[in-house]
This record gives sequence, C-alpha cells and structure tokens, in this order.
Amino acid sequence: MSIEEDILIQNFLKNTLSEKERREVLSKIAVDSSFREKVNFEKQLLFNLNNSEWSLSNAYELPEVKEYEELLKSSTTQELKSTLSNVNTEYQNRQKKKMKSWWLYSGAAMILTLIGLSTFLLYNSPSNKELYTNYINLSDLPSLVDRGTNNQTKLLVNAQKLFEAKQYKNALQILTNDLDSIQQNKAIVYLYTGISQMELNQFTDAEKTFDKLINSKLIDAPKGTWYKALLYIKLDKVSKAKELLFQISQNPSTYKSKEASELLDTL
Amino acid sequence: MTEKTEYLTSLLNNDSKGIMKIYTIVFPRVRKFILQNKGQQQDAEDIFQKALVQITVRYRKETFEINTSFEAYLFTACKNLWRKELKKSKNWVTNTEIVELVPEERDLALTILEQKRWELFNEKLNLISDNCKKILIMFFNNISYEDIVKKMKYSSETVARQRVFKCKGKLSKFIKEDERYNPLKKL
Repeated sequence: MSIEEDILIQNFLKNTLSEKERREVLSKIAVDSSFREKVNFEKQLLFNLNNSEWSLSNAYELPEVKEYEELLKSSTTQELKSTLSNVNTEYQNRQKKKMKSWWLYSGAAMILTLIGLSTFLLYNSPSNKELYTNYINLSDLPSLVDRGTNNQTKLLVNAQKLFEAKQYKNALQILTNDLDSIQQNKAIVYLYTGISQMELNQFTDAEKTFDKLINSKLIDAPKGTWYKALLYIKLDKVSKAKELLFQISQNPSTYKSKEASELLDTL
Repeated sequence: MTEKTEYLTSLLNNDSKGIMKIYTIVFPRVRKFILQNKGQQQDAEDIFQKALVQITVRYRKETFEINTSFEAYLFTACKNLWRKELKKSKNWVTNTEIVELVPEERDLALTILEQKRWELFNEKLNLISDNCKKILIMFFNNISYEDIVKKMKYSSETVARQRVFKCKGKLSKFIKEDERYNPLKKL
C-alpha cells in the first residue's frame, strides 16, 4: 500500500474527507475487493488500538462463534450464571451492610435519615408494586412511529425496539438526546421517556417528564396523568396517586378512566 | 496450585466460595472504573458477571494462557466489555440505520472473538520497537501529527507521517503473519 492510499484510508476512517471524496472511497470499497480488505484491516487496527473504541464483529456464521454460542446456552453455563448471580447478590449485600455500619458509626443524623429514605424507596410494599405491575401494561402503549423513513423515524424505530426489549437505558439515550428536536408523536415520545425513567427508578426525572406532557398543549396530554399516577403508586405515595386517579375517573372519556376507578377502589 | 489456577478452577467448578474471593479482590476496581466512565452500579455488576462467564467458557473450550495475573486479566476483560457497551450505545444514538438486537449468547460469543483479536493486536504491538509502539499509540488515539512532531522531536509532519506509515506496516506484517489472525479476519 502506498503512503497516499494509507492517508486516504485513515482520513476516511476518521471521517475527515469531503462528501465527494467519501463517496469515491465508498464506491471503490464496493467494487475493489483488495481495497476493501485494506480498509477493513485498517479499521480493525484503529478500533482495537484506540482506547475509547472497540472493534465489533458480526461474523455470526463462523463455526467458532456457533460453538461458543452453544457452550453459552449449555446447562453448565446456565448453572455458572446462576451461581454468579447468587454470589453477586451476597457480595453486594455485604457491601451495603458494611457501608451502613460505617454510616451508623459516623453517627450523623442526616445520613441516618437518608438511609431511611433509601430503604423506604428500595423496599416499598409489595402490594403497591404489584398494582403498578398490573396496571402499567406496556402493550397498551401506542407505537412511537407511524410512517416515514427519515433519519428521525429510524432513530425512533431503534428506540421502540430497545424499549420493547426492556433496554430502557439505551432507549432513553436516544429519546432524551433527540427529545427537543422530535416533532412527530411528541406526546408518545414523552410517555416512552417517562416510563423508561420510571422503570430505571429515575423517579424525579420521570415526574418532570410526565409534568411536561401534562402541561403541554398536545392532544394526548391527559395520558401523562395516568402514568404519573402509576409513578406515585410505585413510590408508595398513595394519597397523591389517589388525587390524580380521582381526577381521571371523573370524566368517562378520559384515557384509562375505567382503570382509574378500579384502582381507586383497590387503594 | 497457583492463584491463577485456583481462580479458574473455582469458576469451572461453580465454587461459590472461590468466586466470592474473586469478587472481593477485583470487583471494587471494576466498579470504580465503570462509575468513572459513564456507568452505574448495575452496569458494573452486569459487566463483571459477563466477563467471568466469558473467561470460563473460553477456558472450557480451549485452555488458553493468561500471561498476566488473573486479577489483571479479568480487569482488562471487564474494561473491554465496557468499551464494547459504550460503542454499542454510541452506535444506537448516532447511527441512523435500524439496529438489529442480537441475542445475549450470540453477542457474548462474538465478544469472545473480538477479545481474542484485541489480545492478538496488543500482543503484536508489544513486539515492535518501543519508539514505534509509542508513536502508534499516539496515532491510534487521535493525537494530531502536530503534537506527535513535538513529543517525538521530529523535524516535520511529513517525517511523522512516514514514521507512522512504516511502524504501522511492521505491526500489520506481524499480525497478518500469525495464523491465529485468519479466523479473526472477518469484521
């Protein structure tokens, strides 16, 4: 490879080429297998030796990958996973205990209050947790995307897939990153964002998101009230939840009015 | 039994007591690294478990040599798994193509391959001269030619470019000549 070709490939990989040059490189990659191989190798060098990158592989069809996949699915590995999970829980509990003891010895009343608060948040009563789980019913949610193939739509499709796979953290990254610029289905985006935050126990953020939706002029704004009520149930803030549920149940045409009345009776 | 073998045996035999020892020694360092690099407690716990599964499965399939201490090896495996997670999230946010969600086992199987490739590339990087290694580390970590010239006291950017080109050539030759690279070629 000549030094000129090397510089061209490096600039391509570091994304510093003009649009025209980039298109030329892409065309050459498509038709010239030897050039394509060089680019791939340079990409591997760059991604393996740059400390903040990683060289991803998608060689699913390699027999070696299949063998590993089978081993990972085997009962031996599943047993190991279960042992690891148990050891992890035990280790983290021990660490928590150690930390709590340290706090106790420090004797600071404010810290004790914080322990109380976090214990309260962590171990909220199972009945309210059950209610939350029964009523959150994510399959009822409208889709984030309805039509179109622009870049924003593709990002939303990704967000929806991640949300459905319960990868809330990753879904949230897309949604919060683009929240201000997203115009289509804005109310639904707020709902997905708030629910992801709620599932990740980012309660303050979730409350803010639902408030934004409730206070917006969007047609779906009332949906925010229902999910805010569920947030309060998850947080064991029953009286606040009841206020919102009462508000929803007053008008039979409001979103989830029937469920709100049911929940009010149960609470 | 050396400590290294002891740790691996604990993993191969599902020995909770031995695994707890690994947790006590290595987890705090991994947790600190992940919290300092955009992660949370849960991420640290997930990554640590994944790394232990990865090492065990790989060792079970083909006993491989760990040239450092077990602790250092495990820490590096966790660091790399976290680099991969960050790279994936970056792709999700910036890539406008629709992503395909890969099943967990397949993803970890591919990670083993990626980890093997990473180890091979780094092993070869240690075979070239110290000077070449230094200049390539700067180059691959996006240090500008201007700064490379200053740090290495070269007379011009052209000299620096030629040096990078030559060093990269040597490294590439070492990698490509190793038969272990063949199955790792595919991106």
